[in-house]
Amino acid sequence: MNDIVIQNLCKSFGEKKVLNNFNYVFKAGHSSCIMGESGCGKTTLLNIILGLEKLSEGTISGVPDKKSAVFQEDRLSEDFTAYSNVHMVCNKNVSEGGIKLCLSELGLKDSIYTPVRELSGGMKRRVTIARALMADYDLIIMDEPFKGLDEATKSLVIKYINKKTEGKTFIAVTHDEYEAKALHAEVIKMGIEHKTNNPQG
Amino acid sequence: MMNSILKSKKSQKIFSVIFALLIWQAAAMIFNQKILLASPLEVIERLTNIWTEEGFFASLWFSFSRIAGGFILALISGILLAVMAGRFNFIETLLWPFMVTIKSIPVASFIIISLVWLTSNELSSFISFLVVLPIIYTNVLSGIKNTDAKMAQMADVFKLNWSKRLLYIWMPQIKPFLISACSVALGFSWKSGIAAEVIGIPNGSIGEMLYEAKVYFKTVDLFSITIIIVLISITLEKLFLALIRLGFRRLERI
Repeated sequence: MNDIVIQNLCKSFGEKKVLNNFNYVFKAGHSSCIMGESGCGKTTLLNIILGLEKLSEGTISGVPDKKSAVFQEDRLSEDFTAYSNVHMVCNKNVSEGGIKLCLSELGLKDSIYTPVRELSGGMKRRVTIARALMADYDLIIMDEPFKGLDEATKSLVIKYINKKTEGKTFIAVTHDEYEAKALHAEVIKMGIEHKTNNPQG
Repeated sequence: MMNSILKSKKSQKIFSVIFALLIWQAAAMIFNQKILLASPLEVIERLTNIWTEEGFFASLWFSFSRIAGGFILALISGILLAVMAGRFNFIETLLWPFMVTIKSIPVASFIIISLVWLTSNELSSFISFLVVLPIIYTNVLSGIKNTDAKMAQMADVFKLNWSKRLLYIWMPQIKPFLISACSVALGFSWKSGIAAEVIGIPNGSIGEMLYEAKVYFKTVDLFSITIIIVLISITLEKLFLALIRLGFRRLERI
């Protein structure tokens, strides 16, 4: 696994410049939390790392082939069960028991075979986290993963994420300092000023 | 009391059917000529004994098996072609003139043209196939094209293979389009198949029964057979749609 090196990254949507000369090195096998006000380009940066957005200028290197993600929206197949939604991204060597254990550890033991459309917002969020954690990945990205979770559930989920992402490159977006601390992550504060500055990691 | 009964939708429908039957009965009594307009009472009486006639069920089976065969073949082909067109743009472009032609040519013209190449026994299958194919193809392709771009991104990030994309992303999108397409196509296939039989007159078919009823001025038979055709069409539609929904539910539990 290599460090993810971002150099002079610029991204514009039409006239609007979202990222301007952004530089950073995400260390391989480490956790990082991106924080910053709305509209400063956090999600755009994640999408560029995931290969979902093209960069306007600059370079990005070291992004591993095996990636996993929790998107800002749940992006689940609503008609399918929680189990099926996790199973969809798993390798052949992941057993049914493994998936059930993961969902149980995230507090979804009684909803494993429930269609996702019947789950609450917080439960759906945990299914998306389970799906991301059960995939085969070297880099895992989570965009506001704890949206809609109460404090007790959030602590349970954070503990599980810490256990499962050990030794993997983990990048998350959050608005909460406590979450970043609990995830043992290095904090990158993006702001309007960082669009022009070079926050070298 | 009367007001509350009239307010329920079911009661309103029953009252409107009774009203239509009364109008029909009144019209039949005014004309007072069986050949021009059979009365509902005569038709109901005929419906109670028409099924005892020799060859009635054989005729039903003859027409049903051929029309259903054409429908199933069109359903499978329509889905496969739409999936391929959704994946490869050039297939959609290649199929476009065929689908537009099939959709714009009147069914009667197709029936007559087809009689040049086919025997009357094969006609209803082929016509049912032709009528259903563009409906299924167009609707399923619309479903595929309406796939949520964000779900497609999710599939890209997790590198889902083609079969998983089909099952988890495309299928839920296709489902409502396919169900509505089947609902429309079932009625069309049955009506166009019978129309083909009336023109081609294959031996021992419902179409032949209809044709003979018309030729021999058996208006009561004509009305009775028409009602049977409508009832079969509605029953088949309900059964098939229930079956499709069950199939989807099974797939969703995989």
